[in-house]
Amino acid sequence: MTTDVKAKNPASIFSHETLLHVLNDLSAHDLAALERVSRSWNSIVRRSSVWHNLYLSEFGTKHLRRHGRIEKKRRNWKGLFRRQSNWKDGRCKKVESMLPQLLNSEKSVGEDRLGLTLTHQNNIYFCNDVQISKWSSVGNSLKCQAISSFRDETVKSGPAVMCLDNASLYIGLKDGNLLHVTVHETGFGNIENLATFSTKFVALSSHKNYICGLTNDNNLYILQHSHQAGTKLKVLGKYHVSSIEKQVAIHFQQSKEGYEVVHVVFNDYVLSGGWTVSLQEFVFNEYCVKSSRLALHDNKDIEYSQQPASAIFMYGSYILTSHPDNSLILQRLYSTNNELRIKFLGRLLGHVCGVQISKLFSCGRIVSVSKNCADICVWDLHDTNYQSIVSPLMLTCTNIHNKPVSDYEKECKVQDIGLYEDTILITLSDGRILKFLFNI
Amino acid sequence: MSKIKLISSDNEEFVVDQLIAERSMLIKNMLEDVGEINVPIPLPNVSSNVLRKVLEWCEHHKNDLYSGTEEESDIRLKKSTDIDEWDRKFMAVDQEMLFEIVLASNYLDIKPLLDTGCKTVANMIRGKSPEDIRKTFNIPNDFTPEEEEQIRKENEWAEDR
Repeated sequence: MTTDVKAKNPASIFSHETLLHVLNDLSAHDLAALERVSRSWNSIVRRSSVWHNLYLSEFGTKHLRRHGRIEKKRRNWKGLFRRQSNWKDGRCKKVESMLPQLLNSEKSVGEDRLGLTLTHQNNIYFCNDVQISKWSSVGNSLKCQAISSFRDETVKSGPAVMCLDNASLYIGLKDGNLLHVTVHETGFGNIENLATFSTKFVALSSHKNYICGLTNDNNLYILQHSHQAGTKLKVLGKYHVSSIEKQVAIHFQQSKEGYEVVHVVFNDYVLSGGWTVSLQEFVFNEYCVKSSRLALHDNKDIEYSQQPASAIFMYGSYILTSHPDNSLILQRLYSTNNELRIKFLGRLLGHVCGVQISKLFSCGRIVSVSKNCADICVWDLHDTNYQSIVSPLMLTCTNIHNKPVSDYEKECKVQDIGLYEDTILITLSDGRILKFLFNI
Repeated sequence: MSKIKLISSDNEEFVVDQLIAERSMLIKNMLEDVGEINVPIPLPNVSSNVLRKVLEWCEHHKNDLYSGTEEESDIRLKKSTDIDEWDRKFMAVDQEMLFEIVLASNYLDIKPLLDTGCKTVANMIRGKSPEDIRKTFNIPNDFTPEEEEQIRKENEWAEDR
């Protein structure tokens, strides 16, 4: 190409408005090239709203709710565009770290050396039969925020389930003990043993001072935790649920008219169709359980599977189930004419190694993970009604396969998934923490 | 059909149908303000060769549906690179004329012509390297090699998008 001597620089001829008109037709690639052309072009592209417009045209206004928190300050739209594109393309940086099984302790870990992890925002809570610790994920590393060792008399076995609500962490031990720990800004409060149950809990959830849990011998408890001296735990309701599968989701809803509401979602087998999920609602207050009812399926809508779900998750009114047949099923609970109904929204297909666990987050994203982290998918639920679902972004993390098989590989399952801003955290039962950073 | 008289910057007189002249929102508003159409309209920012070209476009597009004032949000979300065949041929002029048409359509407030002109300019940039863009528009590179390298690194992520 030869230089045309008569050629003129549009930047010195056109008004800023007209230049913007031209720039709005260009891609990120072209804008990046223009930023390198000259100082004046660099400042035109950087200072104008063109990156903002590109962001809007590519990702639409629907995505803005995702960044609602930082709305007030002037945004780096170019940076935002880049991060959003990373999400779209599954481009991220993978960081693998290992949680130490023991810190500053003389005691050795017992047979339950594999601890239990729980993610909350950018924090990870880790518990084994010796101590409990809190870690925060900062950039490429994990920082220990707090650590507390158990006294011998309180803890004799490893944890089976954990749940966190506000500042209260409840831990169900494998020997049936239920512990409570207060989480402060600076560390952990006293570790107290609330009660001993006949068997361990297989599911546990808490809200305010209420706890709902399912034990291994099929008892569903609704409990109230009193912080005063004396009886620590009051049983508001106890139900024997004989036919229930061990995979359940327990989800507290917003309280209604002075009553608390908890939903228990479980795998259910229907003779004429196959596996599906059912939901039981309990309404209670501090004195007793007032009522209980079962949600109904819309018969034409019911979605069956050949096998029961490997994990059930509930967020708000959405029920998300993970299936070994490579699918995720999203359903929604709604009430009509005083009836609770479950509506099938969609089946999400894209996994190839089965789905072990999946979670839906407040930003409208679902993260789903296969056994041993063989594949990880991120799904964006587009419109605000969560009605349409775009195809998944596959995160390729093939290097996970290259790892030598660890000696307790059999037990290496995904314990929890966290999504905080531009980071996905995946905790594995062998103590590994996989972190995927999209902000690169 | 009523005729309008337009005077270019080099004092050439153009007599056109009112319908054609009113593709320009500037002229349309002027006629409404003045209230009569017999007064010649001076266009001191448009030379005769550019005005002739612009009027040729207006003549061809006189029957297009008039979309009135388009919302800005609609423009930025409607990112089509396709220009219709006639417009593409119409815009196949030298760079100087193209820029003059863009400036004139902006001044005369003919939105569809401005859109087409801006798209044509954008097409001259699209897919090019910074060096090719500089050559296209005769822009001197005033970055030091270090500075340019730094920007290149910063924008590396956008290269294949």
